[in-house]
Amino acid sequence: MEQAQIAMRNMVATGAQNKSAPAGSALHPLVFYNFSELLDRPVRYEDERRPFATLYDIGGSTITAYPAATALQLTPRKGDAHVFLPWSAVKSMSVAETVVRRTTEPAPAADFWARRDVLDDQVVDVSGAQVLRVNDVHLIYSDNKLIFGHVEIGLRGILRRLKFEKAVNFLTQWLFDYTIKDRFVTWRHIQVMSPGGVPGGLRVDRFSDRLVDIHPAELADMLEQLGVKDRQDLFNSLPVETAADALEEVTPEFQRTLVSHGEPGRVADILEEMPSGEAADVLRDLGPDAQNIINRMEGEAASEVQNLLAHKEETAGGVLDSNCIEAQPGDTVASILARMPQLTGNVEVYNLIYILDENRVLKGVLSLRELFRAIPAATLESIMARELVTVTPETRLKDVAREFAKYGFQAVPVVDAEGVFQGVVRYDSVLAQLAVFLND
Amino acid sequence: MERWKKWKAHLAIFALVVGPGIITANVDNDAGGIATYSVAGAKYGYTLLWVLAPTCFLLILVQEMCNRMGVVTGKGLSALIRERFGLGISFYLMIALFFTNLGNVIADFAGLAASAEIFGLHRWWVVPVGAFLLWHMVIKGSYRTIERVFFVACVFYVAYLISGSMAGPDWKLAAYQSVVPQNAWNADTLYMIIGIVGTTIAPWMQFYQQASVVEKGIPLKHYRYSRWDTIAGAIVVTIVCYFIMLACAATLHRNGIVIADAGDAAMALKPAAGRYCAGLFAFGLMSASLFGAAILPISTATSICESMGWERGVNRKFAEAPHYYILYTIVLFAGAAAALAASKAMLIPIMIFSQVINGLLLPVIIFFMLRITSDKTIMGAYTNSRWFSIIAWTGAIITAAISILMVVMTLVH
Repeated sequence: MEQAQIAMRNMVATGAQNKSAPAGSALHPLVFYNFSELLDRPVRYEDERRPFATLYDIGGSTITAYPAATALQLTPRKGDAHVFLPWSAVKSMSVAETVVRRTTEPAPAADFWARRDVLDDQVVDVSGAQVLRVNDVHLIYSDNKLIFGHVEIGLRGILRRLKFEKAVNFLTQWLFDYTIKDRFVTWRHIQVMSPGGVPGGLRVDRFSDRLVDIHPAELADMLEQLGVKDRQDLFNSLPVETAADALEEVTPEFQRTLVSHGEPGRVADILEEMPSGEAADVLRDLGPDAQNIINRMEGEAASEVQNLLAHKEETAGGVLDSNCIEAQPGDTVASILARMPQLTGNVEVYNLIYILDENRVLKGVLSLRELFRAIPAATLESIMARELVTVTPETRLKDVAREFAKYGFQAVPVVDAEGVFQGVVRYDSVLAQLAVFLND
Repeated sequence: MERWKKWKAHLAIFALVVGPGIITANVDNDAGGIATYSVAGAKYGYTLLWVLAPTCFLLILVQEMCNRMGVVTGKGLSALIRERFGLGISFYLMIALFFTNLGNVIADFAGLAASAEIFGLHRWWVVPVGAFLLWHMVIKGSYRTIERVFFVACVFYVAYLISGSMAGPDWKLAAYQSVVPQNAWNADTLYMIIGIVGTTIAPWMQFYQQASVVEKGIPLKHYRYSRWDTIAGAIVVTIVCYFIMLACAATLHRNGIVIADAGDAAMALKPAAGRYCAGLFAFGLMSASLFGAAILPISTATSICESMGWERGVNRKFAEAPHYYILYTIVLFAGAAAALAASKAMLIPIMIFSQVINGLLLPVIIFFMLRITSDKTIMGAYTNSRWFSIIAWTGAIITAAISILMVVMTLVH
């Protein structure tokens, strides 16, 4: 417990405590409690000697990074109804007993309740990008304020609550000269899931701020570990771009649940942010709902996805990326270079330029490198590569993969029977298809 | 045409969600299960066939709740129990689950050894090789490959259907006695009936099915398809039990042969029903044992890790989820080692111990399940309906009573 206490002292000393606390609060003695030790302990009125209830739960407010307790929930000695008290009624709190004043003031609504929402439940650790199960909560009591400091996630919390801590410590000390260490995460990095169990209870703004910096793969991992409700809350609270990145990373099963539980309009926005091939993959297994979502997508994105869905997944047409840099044979190098920032805006294959005639027939390809090396006045026609390897939408991905293996392209252009440019198959989308076979 | 199209749409969704129910139910027919059904058929002939239909009903009742919890909450049963009932209860529950599952794994490896010996393979190399292959499959595989392997394993149960038919049962008598309850009211038969129900509804199944529903990520709107998965699984498994009992009843019972386990049954079938019938029976036992030995350690590790908040899942690497893989490895290899080292006489007390914990654990878990599935804050609109509640509580009380009775009778025996 020592490390935890030191961490807590530092926390208070650096002023992380409630802003309203007087400047000299460090002078007040600090008492350190484990939440589990306070649970079900007696509560009495200051003018009575016999306890009238036991402590059931402590509610907190998340206005500050380290929440302060705002309310208590009690289990009265008789009957089942739980009683709520505001924190202001508390005169003193210790493991032995909590003493309260009589008050008519109603208890404020708490942002979370430690027993109901935190202890034994899952929380999100924003700094470590992981989902944790809480074994205990560290509280600090000073100047008659109770502050939530850490959640404990290690074995030691489990042992303490099972009352094995002393015995196990004695054993490990005796056998290996080792003490099991606390493992805890500071509350500043903790996001309580679905506080209050109220619909929309999640604090969306605060949540999404802290989550956008997490790598999409880690975000996806967290989503997969959460329960349905928490998962959907988290997903719904993400900004559209972040949600799209995360959606690309989760397994197909979870893609399906996230999308089919989501609000179609928002899902459509998210899918628009994704490369159309991936968006089509998400929609492919969705059944009748897919159309409903496509209808809400913006025109171009919708028709791309629609097209992809019309093709079989294992063909070039099924993974087509039609978002490419296109130019005309007569364009000059200088004019393309000048337009490069706009042209590359939303494009995955940004280093290849496809040159099409007025009928959109593919005439040539130019790499970015060649573009940089050419003299600015040259036309694309004069420098482009004309010997092209192309595939048709019906080409099977296996055969596309062979072309990639042979030539080492980043993307191979797809043309129809008349030579009209349809888009490209990207290297990574073929790889994604092939990766399925790597496990076997 | 229109109707066919609709059917195709339904089937397509069903194909997406099918798996957890059918796989769980089929693992239920592991070595221990087959032994019980064989003994029941050999000892009592067709007279206990009627027990299977009500057992199937109870199985559906219990498994449907797990399925629903999994789909609605996206959390495993042990996570829900931890969140709803706290750490203390969860911890002791998990210890009990660990031991009863370990007992089942031992039974499965013993079954593997017995069936291998029927084919003339020596147990000292079949069991270690089997254990290592299973271990390798889980360590190197992903959930999808494993599910595929398990699906194929389910097909091997057809072996029992064939061997049951080959045994030449008296279909008319069997059909009659399947519907009309027979001599239930003496201590011996009652013990057998309790054994059948107890081995068909085991605690690990609830944890396993719910965990795989969660891992599969079945969306709420496909819940009714997932329910069909559960029902189909229970019916398939009951049909398999039926044919096992049929095979043993038609041959062993008629000739008055007494057996003690599934290996005996396969051996005894040879003179009575022919080489092929016995071979198929032994083959079924072998695949069932492997199947059970593969799933039970996974289920144990998943349940415990979920409850204690440790990283879990076959999709993770060893370094990401050390607790998970250590638990998995311990249960798997300890089970294999015990099955190898223990003689038949030593296995019996181990099995009794495991069954006793099984019997004590089941009522507790069913009680928790009923509490959770009735809780609006957890289940939302998917709590038990009034009628379901009445039926479920009745069914649960019967199941609980039976499993406690089984404990008492096992200890008395």
